[in-house]
Amino acid sequence: MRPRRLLLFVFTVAPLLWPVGAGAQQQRNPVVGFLGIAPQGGTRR
Amino acid sequence: MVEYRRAESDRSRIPALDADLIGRRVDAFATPDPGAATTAKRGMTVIPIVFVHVADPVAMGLVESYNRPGGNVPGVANFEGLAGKKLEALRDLVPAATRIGYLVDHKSSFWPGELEGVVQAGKTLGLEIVLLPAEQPHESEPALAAAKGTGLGAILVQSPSTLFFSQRERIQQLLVRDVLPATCPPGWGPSDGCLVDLWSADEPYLAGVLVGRILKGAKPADLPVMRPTKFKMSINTKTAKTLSLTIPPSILARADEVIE
Repeated sequence: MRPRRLLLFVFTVAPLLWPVGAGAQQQRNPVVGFLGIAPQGGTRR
Repeated sequence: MVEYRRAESDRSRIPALDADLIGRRVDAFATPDPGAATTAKRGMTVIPIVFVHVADPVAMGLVESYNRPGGNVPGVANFEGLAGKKLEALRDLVPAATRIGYLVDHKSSFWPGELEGVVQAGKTLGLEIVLLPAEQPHESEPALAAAKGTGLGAILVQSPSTLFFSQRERIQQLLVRDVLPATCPPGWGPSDGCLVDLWSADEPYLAGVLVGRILKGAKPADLPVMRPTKFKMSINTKTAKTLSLTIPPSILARADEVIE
């Protein structure tokens, strides 16, 4: 990519893509932490 | 995705495991242990904490009230009635037993009124409750030996209890040795040695429902504390035979599982 085209990309197209990337980050799968006391297998009560 | 952490029956590991999960920025935190929920509440003021297997979350300071928990800690509460149901089952299965030993680990006590609740349930059923404290692994054996020596007719084993869960096989061996009818130590049902087991079947499901609501945007403070509605009973007829007990057909009909 020529320097002028690179500059054009950085200052015009790249900022438009920023919100897309940020949105993708926000839509990560939720993570649930589970803390058990019993060893693996646990209890049913 | 679920990040699992297990304390392997060692409560001293709870704070570090809590901190680890906080560091991983989980969206919700669930635990089947009141102590872990209490510790988590101190460290997590924003992350929703879903508790399960807690008898009295108000008395334990986890929630402000059952209908409006407030804060970030909703959950499922159940146990205040389960010990009474177990005593009732023992009375029906061993009608000659009027003095019942309560094998109890005070350090695992799951709610402040637990002992009083059991004694009161005993009074209601016409049973005398004799406490058999065992707070260290080596104390279960002398406690059960004392039960046999003083002529107690049956044993109610505290459940849930981290200590008795880790010792469940040994406790069942002692129950066989001393020919004592008993409810099961915490675990997966009445294997050899114990006679009857009761548990709430829908608690984990209800906890999952709460987690799902939170992940969909519900405010934890607005989610009322839930209570299990399904209870199940298992009876081990092999143990009954060893104990020379005849299980009335009416009780067998009530059992959800019969181990033969």
